[in-house]
Amino acid sequence: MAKVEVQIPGPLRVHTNQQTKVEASGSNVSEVLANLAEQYPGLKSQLYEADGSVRRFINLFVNGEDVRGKQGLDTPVNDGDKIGILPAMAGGAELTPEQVRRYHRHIIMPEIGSKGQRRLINSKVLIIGAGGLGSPAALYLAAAGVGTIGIVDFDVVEISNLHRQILHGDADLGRPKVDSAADAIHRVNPTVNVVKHNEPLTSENAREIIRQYDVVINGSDNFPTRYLVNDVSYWEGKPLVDGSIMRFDGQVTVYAPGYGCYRDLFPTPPPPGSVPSCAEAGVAGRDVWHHRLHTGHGGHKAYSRHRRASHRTHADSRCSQHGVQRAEAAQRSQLSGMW
Amino acid sequence: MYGAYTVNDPIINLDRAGTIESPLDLIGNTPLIRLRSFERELSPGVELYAKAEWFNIGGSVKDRPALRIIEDAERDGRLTHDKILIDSTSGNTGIAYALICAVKGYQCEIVMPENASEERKRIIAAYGAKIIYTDPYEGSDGAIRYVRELVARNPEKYFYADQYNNPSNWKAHYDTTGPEIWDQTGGRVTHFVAGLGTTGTMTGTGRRLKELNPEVQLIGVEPDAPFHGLEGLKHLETAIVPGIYDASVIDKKVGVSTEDAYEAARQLARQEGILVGPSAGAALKAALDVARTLRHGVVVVLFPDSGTRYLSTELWRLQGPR
Repeated sequence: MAKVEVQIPGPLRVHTNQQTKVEASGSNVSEVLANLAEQYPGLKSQLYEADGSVRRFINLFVNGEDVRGKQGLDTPVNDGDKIGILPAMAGGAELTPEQVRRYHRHIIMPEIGSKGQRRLINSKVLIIGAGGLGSPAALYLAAAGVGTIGIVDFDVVEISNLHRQILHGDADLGRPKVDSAADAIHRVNPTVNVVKHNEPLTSENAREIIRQYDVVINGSDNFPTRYLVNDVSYWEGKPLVDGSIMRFDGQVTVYAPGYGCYRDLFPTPPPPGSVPSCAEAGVAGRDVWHHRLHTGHGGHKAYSRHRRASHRTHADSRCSQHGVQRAEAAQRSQLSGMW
Repeated sequence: MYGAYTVNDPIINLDRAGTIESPLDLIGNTPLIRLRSFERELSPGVELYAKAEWFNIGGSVKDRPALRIIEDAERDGRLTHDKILIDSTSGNTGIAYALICAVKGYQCEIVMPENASEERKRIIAAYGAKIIYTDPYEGSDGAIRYVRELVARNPEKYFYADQYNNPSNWKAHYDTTGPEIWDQTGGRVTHFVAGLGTTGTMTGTGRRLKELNPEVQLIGVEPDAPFHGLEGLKHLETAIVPGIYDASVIDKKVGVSTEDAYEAARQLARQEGILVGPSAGAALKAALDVARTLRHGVVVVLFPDSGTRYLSTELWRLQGPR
């Protein structure tokens, strides 16, 4: 009986507690495989056909040499030999050891676990605007392991952005925001796939861009874009997280598909010039951050104002009364449920 | 509703009668082959056709997205002659990039797991591209992660073609594969079956066919488990999901075992004289399962490549001792 080390390919690690190498024993390759399947029962159906023969697309190696060139499954093994198992073709992988280390504190929480982490890694989030709201959202999502982050922004970094837009720094002045955002995200987590949309969001391109993502975060700085993002997210059935901020107040609302939309709360855009922009009214950099943590602060006030507004005018709304109530419920739970 | 639809995409040269001005003109416009021997076991109202993608000059369906990715990037300036085209691929896309870069004079680097088939490695090298091998135990996702890190460290040096996330991938199929199938079936196609890898084939072809006739059923084929021998296909529940994947396009997703896929490919060779790769075998198995449930219909299944690319693998190894 020799003790050998078996190298486990990515797709099989779900059955070996994510170990890349495990010990097994046997006097030949066939016995080693049988011992392996005994130790890790999940491997059995992956390695063997129903009749008990080893699946033919699997290539087996002893110290790097294919056993087909040796004595096949009868190839003898010695203490310390390295046995390799590989599919004839390259397949996908479960979490890698590096991912397990990086997201360990997520994975140990039962509410997330490796399944939840895998979902985060496979998810795609679109952020409209790499500004005051888009910045913290992008960095936290990147750190959490969201696999693909799309950023729509056609601005360049200006010095008046820097007190709140933490994706960008002094060295980025004059650079396209999408470039500086991608760099900042990769500093936090180089495995994130950043998709740069260095263009204005228009009715021409919005549908094609938004449909590629699972969730949309709206941190835009103007009403036409805000309504456009809402409308397209609504029609594409994408959950929309809508955030806005001015001076010391902020508001965030989650519009889940089927539970109403932005137009239920705000049926029509305000007249041009009636709502000041950040450049006109100012915005507290600290509040963009604060807004993330304690959404209730300014949000409650804004919420009750908007609630009245929506009741007054909901007959004009595109979504149903039912949708309005659900949007409000969703908003309430969001306001009280965060942090 | 089945009005005539003409293919008029400028990148495809439809006239194959005369001389060919460039090898790249032999990308797209592949034949649709009727699989009559398989139709015998189906209801008389059911027709079964295969889109024979190995007729592309590079030998696989991947010529289409690779050409579109490169030409779109040339148009908007992302790809210039001072940059190196780089991407991760388990093989066919690498061959397509290498071939197109050879024609157009670009430098090309292909990142692939070391256990990719020997034929693929040699073909890519023959076109003059550089191959970077990654740990075979990390699979195709390991190659993806490697390229991302490499490009993040040196963004100016590379044009990262990124077939998994580049919309040019599915647009190639939206503009060519979809309209071709529509034309070749006279607008009668009722079911389209294709494997899911980058998912570009299904996303692009599917979107176009649905626009032409919302009743067309789209069936995506994937391996039945993360551990499989179906080159080019991905088990989407466990693999890195491509950015261009749009689950809402597909009507039904079918899992096929490696063994069933190989068996279907072998049967196709013996019965129809058509030698295909393992992903085509998987697509055929899924298409037959769908076709058997129909009384009427025109089922089109896409065969991504030929079996000659897998002669060294288990697919065509005759039964016998390992």
